[in-house]
Amino acid sequence: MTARVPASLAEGRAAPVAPARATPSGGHLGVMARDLRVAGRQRTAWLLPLAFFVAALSLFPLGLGADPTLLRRVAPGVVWVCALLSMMLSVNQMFSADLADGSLEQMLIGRRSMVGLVAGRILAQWLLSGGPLVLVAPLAGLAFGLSGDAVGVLVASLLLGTPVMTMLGALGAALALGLRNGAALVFLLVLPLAMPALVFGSGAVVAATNGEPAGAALSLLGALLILTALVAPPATAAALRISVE
Amino acid sequence: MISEPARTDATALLQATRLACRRGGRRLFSGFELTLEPGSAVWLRGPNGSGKTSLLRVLAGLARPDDGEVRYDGAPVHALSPVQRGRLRYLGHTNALKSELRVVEALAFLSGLAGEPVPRARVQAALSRWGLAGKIDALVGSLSQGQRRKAALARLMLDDEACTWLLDEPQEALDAEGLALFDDWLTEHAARGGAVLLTSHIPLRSAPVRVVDLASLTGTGPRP
Repeated sequence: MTARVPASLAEGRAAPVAPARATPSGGHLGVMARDLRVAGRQRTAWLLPLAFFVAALSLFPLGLGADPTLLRRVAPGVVWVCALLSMMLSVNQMFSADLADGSLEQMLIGRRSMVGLVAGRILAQWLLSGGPLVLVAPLAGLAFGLSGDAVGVLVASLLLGTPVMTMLGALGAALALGLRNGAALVFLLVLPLAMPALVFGSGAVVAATNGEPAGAALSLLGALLILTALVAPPATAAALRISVE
Repeated sequence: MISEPARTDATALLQATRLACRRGGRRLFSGFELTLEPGSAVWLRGPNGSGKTSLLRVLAGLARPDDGEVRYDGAPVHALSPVQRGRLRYLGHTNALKSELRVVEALAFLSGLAGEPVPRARVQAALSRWGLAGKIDALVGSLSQGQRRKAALARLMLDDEACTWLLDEPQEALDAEGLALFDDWLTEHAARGGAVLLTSHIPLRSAPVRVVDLASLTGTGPRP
């Protein structure tokens, strides 16, 4: 048994990060690689939010009736609200597994910057929850009868808006970590903070459906993304330190 | 070494002075003093609920003490440089190994957090010493509790330099063979200038440890 050194599947997968070794670097890339690997072996982590998104969207034509003009009018808000709810579904447990198995303590103790590790964790989380939504959004837009331009704006707005939701969700998850009923609390904490993203995001798509320029709303969404990216990771790192204590 | 007056010792890897900790309004311990020099091994004893885990978490910088301070190489635990933090190892009740990862991936991730990523061959060598050579590509979730503990301990063997270890009941779930190996290896670690503080309800057989009793806060010299 000891002589057998199987060509590890893992080694091949880690190749882009560290060619000769089976070990991705321990910084934010290391965390990201680890999380993506875990998600690859536990597919419900990223399939469930996507399934929720599609299922929730399909309820609206059933509930509102198959009136194309009505569906086209509500589409921007409906797609955005469903995206927001679907993101919240997965983000609230973002750190609980790491807390339960002790990984979080090791991250806090280690020599790597906690902000960098949190950033890696957030990036992986977005790739698993926000990324699939952005890819599916064009189909949703077309199914609701949006024009080509409006679908383009919808994708752009989700591309800018979903990372904001992931980062805010991470902050909420870190604050509520270890609490009973933490999931519901995260939802209530994050929802008000996510309002601006929802307003600008769906606003951009509404503008596009009316044939007006959507640039202003998208720029505001971009500014919101930059602001959140500057504030949320350090705040999340600090919240994690407090939650573990 | 214990209960000596507070002073900064330049040679000490870890120095704790006047530590006090409360949990839920109850005082767990106060006036705790400890110095770990290179080569020292300390067995922290005390009944359940006496605050051993809380003390280790305070020493690791995961929790703040209610009084007193912890220093590594003379620097406060909350202001350590990355290099100094890279020399601290903490093993809690949980093994910090993700069940969805392969053993080699989990250990590489942990050693990457502490600093340098470790080549596969070294992981293999450390695992074979614990009798887990064939498990390097097994999913952590498929291992037994004892095997997981051994893998978590094998991670401590991946270090180049002698580090400071804070181990919370490291022998939990180990078999007789594992216990003997752990003893040998503790001796080895101390011999190469590392320091270790561990809690345990299982007597250490051969390793030369100093006993600190948390209940009475009085040290007895080297064990007979």
